[in-house]
Amino acid sequence: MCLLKVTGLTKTYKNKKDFVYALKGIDFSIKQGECLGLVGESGCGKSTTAEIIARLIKEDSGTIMFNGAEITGQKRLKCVGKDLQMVFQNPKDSFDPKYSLLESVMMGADSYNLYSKTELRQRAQELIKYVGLKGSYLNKGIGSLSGGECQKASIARAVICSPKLIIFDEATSALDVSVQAQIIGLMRKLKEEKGVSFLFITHDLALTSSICDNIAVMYSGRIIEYGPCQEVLKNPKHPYTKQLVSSVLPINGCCNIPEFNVLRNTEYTENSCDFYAFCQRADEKCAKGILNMAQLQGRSVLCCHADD
Amino acid sequence: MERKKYPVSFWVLAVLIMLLIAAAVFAPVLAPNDPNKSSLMDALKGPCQQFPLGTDPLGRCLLSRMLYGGRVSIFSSLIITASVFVLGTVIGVFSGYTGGAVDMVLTKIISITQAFPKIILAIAIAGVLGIGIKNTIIALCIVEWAEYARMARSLIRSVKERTFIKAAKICGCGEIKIMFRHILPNIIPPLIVSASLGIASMIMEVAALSYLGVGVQSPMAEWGAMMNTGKDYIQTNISLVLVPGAAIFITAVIFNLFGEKIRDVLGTRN
Repeated sequence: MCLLKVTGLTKTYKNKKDFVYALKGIDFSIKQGECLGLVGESGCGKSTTAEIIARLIKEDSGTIMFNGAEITGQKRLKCVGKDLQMVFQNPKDSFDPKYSLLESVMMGADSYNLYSKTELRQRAQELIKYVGLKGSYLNKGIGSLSGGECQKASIARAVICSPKLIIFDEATSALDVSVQAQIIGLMRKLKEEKGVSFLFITHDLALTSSICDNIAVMYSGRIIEYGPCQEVLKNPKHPYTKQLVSSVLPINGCCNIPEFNVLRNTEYTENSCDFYAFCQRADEKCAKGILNMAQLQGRSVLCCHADD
Repeated sequence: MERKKYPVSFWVLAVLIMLLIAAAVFAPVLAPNDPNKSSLMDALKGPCQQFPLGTDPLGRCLLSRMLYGGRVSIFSSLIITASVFVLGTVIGVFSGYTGGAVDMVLTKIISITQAFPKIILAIAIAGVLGIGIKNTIIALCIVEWAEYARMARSLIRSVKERTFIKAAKICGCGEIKIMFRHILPNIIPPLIVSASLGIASMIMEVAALSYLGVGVQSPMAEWGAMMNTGKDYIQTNISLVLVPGAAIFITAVIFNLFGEKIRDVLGTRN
C-alpha cells in the first residue's frame, strides 16, 4: 500500500529581489514499511521536501497524498497528526533545554491525548530503554547527553505515538560512525518490528545502501534518478549520480576523486540542464533544454542528452 | 530536571536586599525622628544622640530622611523596572512573534525611543507632566520600555528559529502551547537578569531626576533630592551629600551584584 505519494511538488523562496527555486516539480512515493533514501548535495532541496511533507512549510504547487488522503495545503495537526514524525539534523538543538529527557520524550505524544499520564510516562521509559539509553538519564537535562544519545532520544520521541512514517532529515550527519551504525540498527529494528516507513535524507551514500529500499537522487530541486537503492548505486545512469557515487571515498586507500569544477560558463536559459556547467559530457543540446523523466531498466532517470 | 545550585554569595546578597527593603518598609519604626519635621534651632548639627547622622539645613534628621528616602528610591525603582519589564516584554514578544509589517512598525518606534538620550528625554517628559514621584515613574517608564522590547524581540526571533520549536510543532503543539511551554521559558531568564541589573541604574536615574529638581516634591525625603539640598554645603558639611550618596552607592552595588549572581545561576552569561 502506498503511504506517501508526492506529485509535481514545487517551492520557491523569495529573497527580497531574488527568487530561489528550491523545488522544481518532484515526484516520488513511499510504500508502507519502505525506506526511501533522498540524497544530493547541500541546497538541492532535500530539507525543503521534508518540511513540506511534514507540513512545517507550504508548497507552491503539487499534490501530497498521505495515508490515502490529500494533505496538500492543510495544517499539520488536521492532516498528518501523530502518523508523521521527524528526526532533525542537530540532535541537541531539537530538544528544549528546559526539560529533562523523560519530559522531552513524553512531549512527543502528550498533545495527541493517546495515553493517560501514567501510561505515557511508562511508555516513554520503555522507549528510552528500547533506543538504548540508560535509565539513569531519565531525569537528566538534555544538555548532559551526548549528540548520539540525544539523537536516540529523538527517535524515542518520534516513535512514542506509533507513527506510520518518520522523516530523518540528515539525522546522522552530525554523528560519528559508531553512533551512525547504532541509529541505522535502530531504524532496521523499527522497520522490522513496528513496520514504520522512513524518508531518510542524507549525504552519506554508504548509509543509504545499508538501510534504504529505494533511492531518489536530487540535484538543484529535481529528482534526477530514482529507483532501487542497490541498483542505482551500483550502476548509476545520470552523469551527476555517476559523479556522486564515484565521490565516495573507500576506507582502505585513495581513489580518483572526481572534480566538480565549473567546466563552462555559457549562460543558462530557463530550460538548461541544471548540471550543464559541471557535466563532463554536456553539449550544446544540454544548454537548450532538459528532457523528461523516463523509465530505464526498472528505474526513473531524468533523460540526458549525453545518452542520445 | 536536576535542581540549580545557588552559591552562598547569592543568598548573602539576597539577605542584604531583604534588609534594605525591610529598612525601607519599617522606616516609621526604625527612624528616630520625624523626617519632615524642621527646626532651625537644630540646623546643620553634627552626629549626636538625638540625630545619629546629624541634621540638614532645615534641622531635619538625616538618618530618618535616609530611611524614608529609601522607600521612594527603592520602591519607585522596583515599580519602574517591573512595569517596563512587563510592557517591554509584551511589546517585544508580540513584535518578534508576529513579524511582518507589525514588527517593522514596532521596531521603528523602539529605535526612535532609543535614539533619544534617556535622561534628557525623561527630564523633558517629567517637565511636561509636572513635578512629583508619580510623573517621575511615568517618565522613566516611557523612556525605559524600549530596551526590554528590543531585547525580547531579538530573543524571540532567535528562539523561534531553533530546531526544538519545529520539533514541538511535529509533536502536535499549537501556537499557544509553544509560546508558553517553549518560547517564554527560554526568553524570560535573560530578561530577568537584565531587569535585576537594571534596578541599580533605575535607582540612579530616579535620584538623578530628583537631584535635577524634576523628581519628588519637597518636603518628601528622597536620596537624589537630599543630595540636591546638601550640594550647597559640600565644603562645610560633607555628610549632607555623603549620607544619601552612600545610600545610593551601597544599594546600587548590592542590586548589581545580585543581578550578576542571578545571571550566573540562570546560566545566561553568554
